[in-house]
Amino acid sequence: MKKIVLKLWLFLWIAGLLVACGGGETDSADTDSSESADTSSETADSSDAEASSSDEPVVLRVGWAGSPDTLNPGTAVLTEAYTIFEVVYDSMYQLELDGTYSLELADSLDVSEDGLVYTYHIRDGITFHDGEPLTAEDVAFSYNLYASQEDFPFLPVYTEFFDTVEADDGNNLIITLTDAIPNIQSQLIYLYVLPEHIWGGLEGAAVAEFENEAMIGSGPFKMVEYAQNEFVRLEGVKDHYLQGPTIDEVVFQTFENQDALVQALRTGQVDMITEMPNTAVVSLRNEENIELVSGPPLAPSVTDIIFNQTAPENCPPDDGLCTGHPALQDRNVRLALAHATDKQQIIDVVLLGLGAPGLTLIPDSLGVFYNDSLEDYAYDSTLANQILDDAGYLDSDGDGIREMPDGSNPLNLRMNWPSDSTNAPRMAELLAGMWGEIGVGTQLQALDPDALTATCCPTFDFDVILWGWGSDPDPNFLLSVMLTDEIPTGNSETGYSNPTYDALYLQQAVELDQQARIDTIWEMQRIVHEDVVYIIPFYEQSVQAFRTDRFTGWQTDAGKIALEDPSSLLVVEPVR
Amino acid sequence: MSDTAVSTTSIRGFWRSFRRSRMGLIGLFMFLVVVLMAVFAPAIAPYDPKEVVRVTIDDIYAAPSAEHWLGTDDAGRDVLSNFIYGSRVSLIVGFFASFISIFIGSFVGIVAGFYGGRAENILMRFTDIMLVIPDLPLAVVIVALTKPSLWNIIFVIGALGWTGSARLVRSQTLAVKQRKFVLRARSIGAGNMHIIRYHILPMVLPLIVVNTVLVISLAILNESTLSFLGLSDPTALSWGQMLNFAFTRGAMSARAWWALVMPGLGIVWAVLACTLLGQGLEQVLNPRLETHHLAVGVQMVDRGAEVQA
Amino acid sequence: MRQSRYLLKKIGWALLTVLIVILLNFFLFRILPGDPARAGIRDPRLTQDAVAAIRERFGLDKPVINCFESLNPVKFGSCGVNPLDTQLFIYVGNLLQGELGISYHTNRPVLDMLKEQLWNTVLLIGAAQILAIFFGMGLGILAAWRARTTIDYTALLASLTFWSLPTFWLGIILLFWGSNQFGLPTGGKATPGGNFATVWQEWADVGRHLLLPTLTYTIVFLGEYMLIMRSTLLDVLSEDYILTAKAKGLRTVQILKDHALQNAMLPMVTIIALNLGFTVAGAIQIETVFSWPGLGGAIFEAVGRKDYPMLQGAFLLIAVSVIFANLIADLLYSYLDPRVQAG
Repeated sequence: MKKIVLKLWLFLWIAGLLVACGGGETDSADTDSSESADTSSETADSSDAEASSSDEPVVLRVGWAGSPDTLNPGTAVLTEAYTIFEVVYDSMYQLELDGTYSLELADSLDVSEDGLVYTYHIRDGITFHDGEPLTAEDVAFSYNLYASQEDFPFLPVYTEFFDTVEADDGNNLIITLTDAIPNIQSQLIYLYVLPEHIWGGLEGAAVAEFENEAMIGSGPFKMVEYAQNEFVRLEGVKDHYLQGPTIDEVVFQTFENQDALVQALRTGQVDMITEMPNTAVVSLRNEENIELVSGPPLAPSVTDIIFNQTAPENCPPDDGLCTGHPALQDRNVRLALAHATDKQQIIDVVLLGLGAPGLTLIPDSLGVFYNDSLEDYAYDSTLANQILDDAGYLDSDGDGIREMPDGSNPLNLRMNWPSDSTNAPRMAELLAGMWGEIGVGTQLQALDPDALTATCCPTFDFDVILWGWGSDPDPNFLLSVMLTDEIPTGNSETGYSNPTYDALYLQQAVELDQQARIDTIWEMQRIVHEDVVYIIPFYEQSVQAFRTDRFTGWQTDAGKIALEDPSSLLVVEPVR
Repeated sequence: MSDTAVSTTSIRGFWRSFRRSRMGLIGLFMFLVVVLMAVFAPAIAPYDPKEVVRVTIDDIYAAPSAEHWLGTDDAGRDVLSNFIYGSRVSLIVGFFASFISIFIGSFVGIVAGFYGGRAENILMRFTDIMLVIPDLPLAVVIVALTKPSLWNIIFVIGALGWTGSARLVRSQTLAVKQRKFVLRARSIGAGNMHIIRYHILPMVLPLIVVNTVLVISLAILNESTLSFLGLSDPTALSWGQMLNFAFTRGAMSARAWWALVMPGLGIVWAVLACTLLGQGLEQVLNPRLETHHLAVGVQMVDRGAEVQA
Repeated sequence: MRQSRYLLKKIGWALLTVLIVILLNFFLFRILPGDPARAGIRDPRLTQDAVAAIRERFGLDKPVINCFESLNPVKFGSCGVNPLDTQLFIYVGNLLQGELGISYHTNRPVLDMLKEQLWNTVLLIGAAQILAIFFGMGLGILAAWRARTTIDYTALLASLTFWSLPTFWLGIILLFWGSNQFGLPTGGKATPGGNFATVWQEWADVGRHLLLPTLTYTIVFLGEYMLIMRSTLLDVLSEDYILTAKAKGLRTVQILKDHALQNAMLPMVTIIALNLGFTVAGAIQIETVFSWPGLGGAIFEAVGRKDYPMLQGAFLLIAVSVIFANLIADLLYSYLDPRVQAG
């Protein structure tokens, strides 16, 4: 009797779950929407099945701690998605590791005198992964799709200056701009070219909700199999029009925790990992068969210490609360805090030394745009104390915390950071200690990123936030963050306002001469540094590692570190 | 459950029966160790975790040494001191969260059990629904969307952990309500509040005490889980928070087992202590047969008699 | 007659509970602060027009319900709003058509995502629960039979210790131990794109991936089943009919098998059914540690991404599973022990 009960129960339990699960369909992520993708994956499978020892496909296994959010280039947010797009799709330009751009889909470019008309000649004989030809028509279709789709959250920015995009009979793409802009390359690199014969049939919300599992592109790898939050399996396109990879397959596997990721590399479950905790560096360095590389990341990012310095007259009328501590509107206080911040100590503890002291919001990984001529405010708490004393911020009641010059409002600063950051809590502790030495108190509070956005901008209901930005290869976006116009939009997190800076921003945006533009951008950084708008504690390095007993040829000394970039994936070959 | 449920009115009598439970004694001892460690943390701990120290790269995840018996953590701080101070936060969360749970649970249980009828129907249906919605995901959602502070964590754990107590208290109340002295009190015209205050509550209280101890252990476990998932207050260094730092900042990759093992053992110790203590208390306050007709080697003994096993 | 009335009442309650859960679920994610349209996305490229477009696409521009202005007039509409044009009506309407909405994070239908993940979680939890129930009950029977002996105390202490282990902590430790000592995989469900000569090799690969998470899960849940089995069996074994059976000269094993266990099984069934909800808590931790692509990991990620449609769907699925399992347990219970219906 009892056995029956148990069996019956288990049966019902499992059956119940299966009912809830619908058809019990196990894997809907396989490519199945396109016929040719199907056959290609079948051939791959059948060759797997009969794979003999001599003829096994060469598979590179990459471990990473993330996973693409979607394969639809229009709605993707995460960098993991862009890593996949980068190898499966082509765009007009390829961003090289040294920060320069080279033509990818086009073999020649002609720019009109006034800088308004760009004529790209698309290479002849390019095909998509399903065998259909890729022509200027597809490029024009893609650009127009990106320009017209309001459901694509980020891409409209890149097509902002497009007046018309057309293809002519000679396989030329003609882009007419509304204004002459200096940075068309960086505008075009994320506009991946999609096949019109697949995307052309979609309309309205269907475009944003298109799952794009077959992912037909024209890049050096093609999609074989995708399971969300598990892996992405790509097959090399050996006869690619530019350069085909030497390996047969690359698999990106997701590990939800970074320790497991490091361990997977150690045990040989994966051949390369794209990220790791910096604490792993020491022990991995001593490991046989593993090589560690670090350097500026390909995708620039910056960590910033944000001061709420919104002046009352700039407080956004609709959303603004502007409760920032009044002392932070005084440059002297910000300057004192900058002098009281020991960046090297932060780099040592938070990054284990794998970073460079930060200077301006434009990080060193933006290359020529980074103004490295500025002199940083040296760590000197005596000087910092002196500055505050001179400016009249004294500790009149002897509680160790200074007050405003009129004796009111002690310098107790609320310090917030996003709760999903692993570095910020340690940085906050360190800052609290350092600033405590000059009589500035802090109240530490982690906030959910969403709640942080709500306190930050454009409400300005905070004193200090530890946060950061990701950036394009072009500095335009990061520079825009400090504009007066961005205070009510929520992009400005400091409330900084300086008419000179605003004017220079407009000037660099249309400056066609590269050197003149760089000079302007350097001047803007100088102004912002002078005004101590932010403290930039560090520029973090990217740390990656690979097994030396599996593949060779990794691009480790080309300036920036991105082993998952085509620059490495196309050239690595197995160790014989 | 039975009429002998509360046979121990005096502290001495209580202790005499408690002494017989070896598990309970072990639990009490383990519990006292944690409480003493928390109370005397400043005296025991070699370093003050809040003190501002300058560290170098070599201090981070440094192996155990003469200065740091249990090594250092990802910020170069002494793991032993963090561990000792961490017991404070973990216990505070455990105590306060379980008080909230027990208060709600007892209230719901007594009201439902005593008044019956529609009140019972509504309250128990609500309890069932709370049981159906999984605690942890709900806690994760609520904590993630409020400020991750120690008091929010306590509130969330407390507010979600009362269902079990409510059910227990209700069934005990139901049992007590039918007892002769309650019926007698009612027949001489005692009011509801009077009966609850003087007849129901004293009879239910032992169960509540046992339950509190068990709920503390659950609360400590839940706190560690929420901290591990990165949802707790990083400035309140509980054992769970120590684990979170060790986990998110690559302790295992750095082969710094000490940063991971110690706080984990602390949690196991505290949770086990409460569980054993709860078991011991239950044996005293709500004694049941610990042997039976098929028992090997031990004679069938009466309740309350000395058992020297 | 009585049987069918009891049955109807139970099913009625279950349906009502589902309904209440749906409503709770719906309002929980709308009362919480924050704007899901820009949650987690911090990018200077995200213009206000783009945010508005996202809100419109997900129907977030519509009032939550009508005639309820007390909380927040923007989020909650006035009586002038057409009730058919509220988020509540649209949500319930979609639910009736079997649609759980579109995930904010992946832009995929939530139902598709749940289908993929649920199967993985069922595989993991199923395997672990069967093992935990089997070993937990076995240990419980042994301990109860040998009550108050060293065997009993050892088993009891071990079970209590297992129960006290933080799930994620045990998982991390087993992960490193297993991968260092035996080269077991540190994450994932199978080797992606692996080359397998036979189906058996493919299953063996899944088995290797399954081993550590299952072990963790089994250890954590084993303790509880042991404790319950032990105490239930102790109660049963003290009943007089056991003494009678013993007096009749039946062998101990036979009494255990034929009389005691059968009766002790009933409470176990209820506990196992009730436990289904708690298994999800374990799944969140284990799937995060072992990168297992299941429901638990998905819930955790959805929290981080403020993916409300996904969370709503997952909560509903879990709640319905638990209600369903409880209903089955109730019905089984009444079928096996007709006295229950009277009470």
